[in-house]
Amino acid sequence: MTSLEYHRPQTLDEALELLEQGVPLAGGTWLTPRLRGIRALVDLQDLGLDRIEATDAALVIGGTATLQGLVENAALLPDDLVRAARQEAGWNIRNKATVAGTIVTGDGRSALLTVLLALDAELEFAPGDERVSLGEVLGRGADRTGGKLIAAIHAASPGHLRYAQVARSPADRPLLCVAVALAKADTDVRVALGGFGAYPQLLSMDATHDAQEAAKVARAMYAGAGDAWASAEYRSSTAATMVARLLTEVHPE
Amino acid sequence: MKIEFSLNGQPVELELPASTTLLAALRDRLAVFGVKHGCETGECGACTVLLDGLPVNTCVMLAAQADGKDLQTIEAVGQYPELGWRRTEGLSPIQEAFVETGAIQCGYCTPSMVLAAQSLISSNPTPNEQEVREALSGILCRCTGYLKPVQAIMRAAAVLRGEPIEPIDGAIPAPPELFGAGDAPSSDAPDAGPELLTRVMPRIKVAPEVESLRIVGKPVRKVDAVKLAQGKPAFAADMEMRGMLTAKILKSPWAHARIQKIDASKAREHPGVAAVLTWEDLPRVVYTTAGQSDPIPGPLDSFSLDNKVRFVGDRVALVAAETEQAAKEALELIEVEYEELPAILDSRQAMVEGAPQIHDEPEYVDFAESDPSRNLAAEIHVDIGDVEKGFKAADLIVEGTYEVPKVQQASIEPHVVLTYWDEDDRLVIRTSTQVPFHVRRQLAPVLGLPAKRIRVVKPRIGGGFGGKQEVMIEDVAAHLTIATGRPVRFEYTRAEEFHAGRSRHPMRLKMKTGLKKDGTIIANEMHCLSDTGAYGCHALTVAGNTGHKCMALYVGDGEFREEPNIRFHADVVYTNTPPSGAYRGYGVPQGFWAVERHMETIARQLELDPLEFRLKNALRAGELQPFSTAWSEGREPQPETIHTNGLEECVEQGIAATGWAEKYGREDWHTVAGKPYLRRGIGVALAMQGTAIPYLDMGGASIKINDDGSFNLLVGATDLGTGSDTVLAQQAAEVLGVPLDDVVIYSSDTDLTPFDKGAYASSTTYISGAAVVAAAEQVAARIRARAARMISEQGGEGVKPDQISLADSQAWAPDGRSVTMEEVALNALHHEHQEQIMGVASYASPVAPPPFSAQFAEVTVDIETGQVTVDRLVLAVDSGVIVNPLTASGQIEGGMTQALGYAVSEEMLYDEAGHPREMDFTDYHIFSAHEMPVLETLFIETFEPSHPFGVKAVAEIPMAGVAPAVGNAVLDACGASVNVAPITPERVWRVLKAEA
Repeated sequence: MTSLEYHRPQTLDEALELLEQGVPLAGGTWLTPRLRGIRALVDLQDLGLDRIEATDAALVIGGTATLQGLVENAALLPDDLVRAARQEAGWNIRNKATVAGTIVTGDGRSALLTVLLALDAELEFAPGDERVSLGEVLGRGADRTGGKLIAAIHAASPGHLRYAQVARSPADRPLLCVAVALAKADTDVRVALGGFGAYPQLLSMDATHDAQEAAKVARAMYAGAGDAWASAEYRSSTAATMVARLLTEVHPE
Repeated sequence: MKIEFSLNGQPVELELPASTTLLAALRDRLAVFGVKHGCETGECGACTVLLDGLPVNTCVMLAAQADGKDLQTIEAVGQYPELGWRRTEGLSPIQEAFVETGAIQCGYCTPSMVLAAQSLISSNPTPNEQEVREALSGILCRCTGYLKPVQAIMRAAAVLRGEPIEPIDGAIPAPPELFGAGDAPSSDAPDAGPELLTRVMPRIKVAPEVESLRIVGKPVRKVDAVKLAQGKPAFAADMEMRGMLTAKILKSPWAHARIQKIDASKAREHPGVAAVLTWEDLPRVVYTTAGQSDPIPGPLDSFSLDNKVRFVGDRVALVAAETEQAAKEALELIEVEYEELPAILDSRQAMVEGAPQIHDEPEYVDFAESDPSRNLAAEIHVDIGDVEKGFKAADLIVEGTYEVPKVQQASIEPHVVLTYWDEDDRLVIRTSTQVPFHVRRQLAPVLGLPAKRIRVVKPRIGGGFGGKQEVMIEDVAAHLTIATGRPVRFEYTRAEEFHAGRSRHPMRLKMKTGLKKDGTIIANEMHCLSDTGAYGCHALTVAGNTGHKCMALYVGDGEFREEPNIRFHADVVYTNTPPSGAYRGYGVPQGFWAVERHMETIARQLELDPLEFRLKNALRAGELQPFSTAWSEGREPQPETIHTNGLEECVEQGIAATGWAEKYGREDWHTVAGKPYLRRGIGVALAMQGTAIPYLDMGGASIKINDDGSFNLLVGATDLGTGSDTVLAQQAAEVLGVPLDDVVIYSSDTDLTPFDKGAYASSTTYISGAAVVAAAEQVAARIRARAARMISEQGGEGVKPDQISLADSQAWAPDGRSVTMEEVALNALHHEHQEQIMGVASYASPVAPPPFSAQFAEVTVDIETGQVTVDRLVLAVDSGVIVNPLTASGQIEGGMTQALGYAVSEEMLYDEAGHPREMDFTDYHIFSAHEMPVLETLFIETFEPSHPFGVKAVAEIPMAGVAPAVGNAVLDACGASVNVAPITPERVWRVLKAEA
């Protein structure tokens, strides 16, 4: 077996050069048990990519900001973004696991991905200053970043954000989850549906102005969402229920 | 690569491969054994260290990531206060609080919890309970239910703030009559302050017979707590040996296959590989891995290695290598040709005509009714009275079908063993087991060694719950030590635990009950289809207990109390899934799921109060345990009368403590303001367990006096974290009149301690305790005789031995003259008529006095999604006299928490090829600290006359009632009768949908 190389670059440029031959290592909580076949690791911990900033207008979260970083900035951030970060893991893991790492490795049952998708998060990649929507990145398949680094996650500060899930117990991974975000000074509501598949999905914007219409769309979206954890019939029905429930808070009947 | 970090204030420099995890670096390179291995994927948190002051999991972090960092482990936190002439600062306040509150059971996760608490308090000196639970959210504990660790941290924070805290060993909060509903404050207030809202001591209705005792019944500290709080290298894997090899197993990818060809030559040549063993290399010795007394009450159907594999994960080959990496690489070099065979993955298909035969080996040894040609591992049929006659006379017959899943014990310490030849060429097996003496006896023929050349040592173990009542992996390391001559360590990964560990037998249970209109049960029948998986471990006895306990609780009323009509039939079948086995409760949680869901259905159908209906038909003191004359575990059944039964008072106290009357049937309580989709419900389940196996279970004890008047107590009994060493030492100290510190207990070493059958069947406090008391009585008699002579020689009136009493480490004459225990010891060992004062005794019981319980549960159900949130669990239990309220309530809280998983989140499922769905603690969800319901324990003491201190069992009964109580609460909340456990959101939703 070829021995593994470990690098800890001190600058972004140095990191990007090393990443041409290696794999980024953020917290390592997902990657450490999956090192097989990797030749070189590029540890991002010294790059200072962990800022968390929030203004009335925007949220900026550095790629290597930890999940616990979100929790500790609860005063700055929307409550249910923090809740989603808590839902991902317990304290120990949250102290190492990063937001970008969750974006790269998370599946459809990720609370944080579901919330970020509802927030219409954009990913700032390096090199370059390209920004790509999370929805597009998630749709890319297994290699979500194309070998680039997620330097930061940007989103507009929402006027309203709600996350809800159905699970076997409060801290269990969701069988079904929904996030609803309403931008400030905007009537567009974004609804993300999770709990199934490779990544959460966004409901069509056309549907989200009416709770019952949105429920119908959610039901159709998850009509085939069956796996070993829940049947499609259940997920489809529950998706409709939860979408209607959360949207009713935004659009009271 | 070279890395440097600060470890507990000292600089460390290491040269290691970059792929080394921080956990491996700490344990394997630096022997920092306070950091434990519980999984490889970061869910359990047993491997916590503080990295720059914050808790992180070292199993999912590379050592390289710690380069330049500051690491702190438990080794830097606190010390024993007196180390010879050197005094230390003692334990830290957090460790001290963990010790005094009983927050430490097995102690495997304790170092992690202490470190997390330290990190929390250093940044937040005034944490409230929610913040403490959040701080523990990354650390799984399978023993405690988290209540006592939370209390410990809250108390420690108060101490560190300089605030006074309530003593724990104050008066036992036992009211004269009823426990009030308001006595137990809710702990879930989100805006609570730093005050501790829950009480450390459980509420106890104390039996009058034991009120005057000094040590029995008192919340003394666990005897192993101080070392566990320090994370001392007390567990099986916490040991370095020069030249030690690491073992790995090649596992079957097929559910059922014949090994046509196996070639290990490339693996044997791989660098670093010391041995590869296949079925062709080992003698073919049939045995069972079920750790039970002789003769084994079940089929012999296992081999260390076989030419056939019977489940995905079954053994194919064993490897020992210099490093784990080399062993893993060798596994990939073993070439195996399989002939895939049709598999049985559904127990209902096992006995169908034409089903593939899973056990066709000629060496198979039948036991009782096993019939491998029909995939039948065991069959039980019990008829008491005349059930058919009862059904004919019934006004009403109620039938129901119920299912319970395969679930795992999931101790945080995986199975782990270390083997080596000692200087006398005797094989030493240091293993995490509940049954050291069975390991020795059962492995001897497998290894080709006489039992006398095997020594089994059980150090501290990180939880067992029945999973380690199995001689499951000891042979792997032992064969490899025999093959190589070198020490070998073998430890399951967490994935291997799920792949190839043991589990609770899943069952399909059919109930049929005949009743009179007034609710009298006049005939009761259960048919049980139990799935033992690929091997028949505990096949017969687990199913036997399902009937023996669960179908004995309700005998009927009136004339039927004398002559009940009960039928129990069990088919225990093989399937191509991982073997089932022993799991805390041992068939009883399965049975009570069916019985107590069924009783609820009947009560509602007859419009009877569910508790009055149950008590009307329940077994009472003075009555015959109806199964005692019909079935016993491996012995001829003998009639057994129930002497003590606190069930009615358990119900009465539970009603009072839960406020049942204000909730059950009250429409206003069932709704939640502002949330029309939520419904609250309350439910109950009664249960009965056993205390040991009569005529079979035996425990031995020896006690000797030392020069300073202290005593060594040696027991074979196996403390698996439950506190049995403590309660045994308490019983000895009570008899000998000395403080607990003067009884030095050593347990579970086949060379040094007397025999004990091991830790199972809720037997240790009762069986081994009776042996300890008997041995202590012998010692006390010798002390009295000598003390009487010594006191008489002092002058004054002569005293006789029977006038001497032992208390406060002295032997007292009635007139107040005394000699100290030390003076007696020096006199006996050095001065005159020298003798070693010691006693040896053993005990086997003719009865198995059952503990009884009333389990209450409150839930909130989302009637649109089916999601169930369990809000509160209250167990009122008659476990006889409680020897130690802290360890006993810890057992109840931890047991209810495991049972909560059984109720709502735990199950092991397999795909159509037999591959498991659950391989880690993400998918196999056990409860964490921050999602727990309120837990309450009420002890209703009775004095069991067959034990010197009146004890009965406590360990298993909390497993029995939670799932059906939650199921009944869901029914109460929303009308959904869910008969398949666990009660998942989809199952509730489906029932609601069907009923709509």
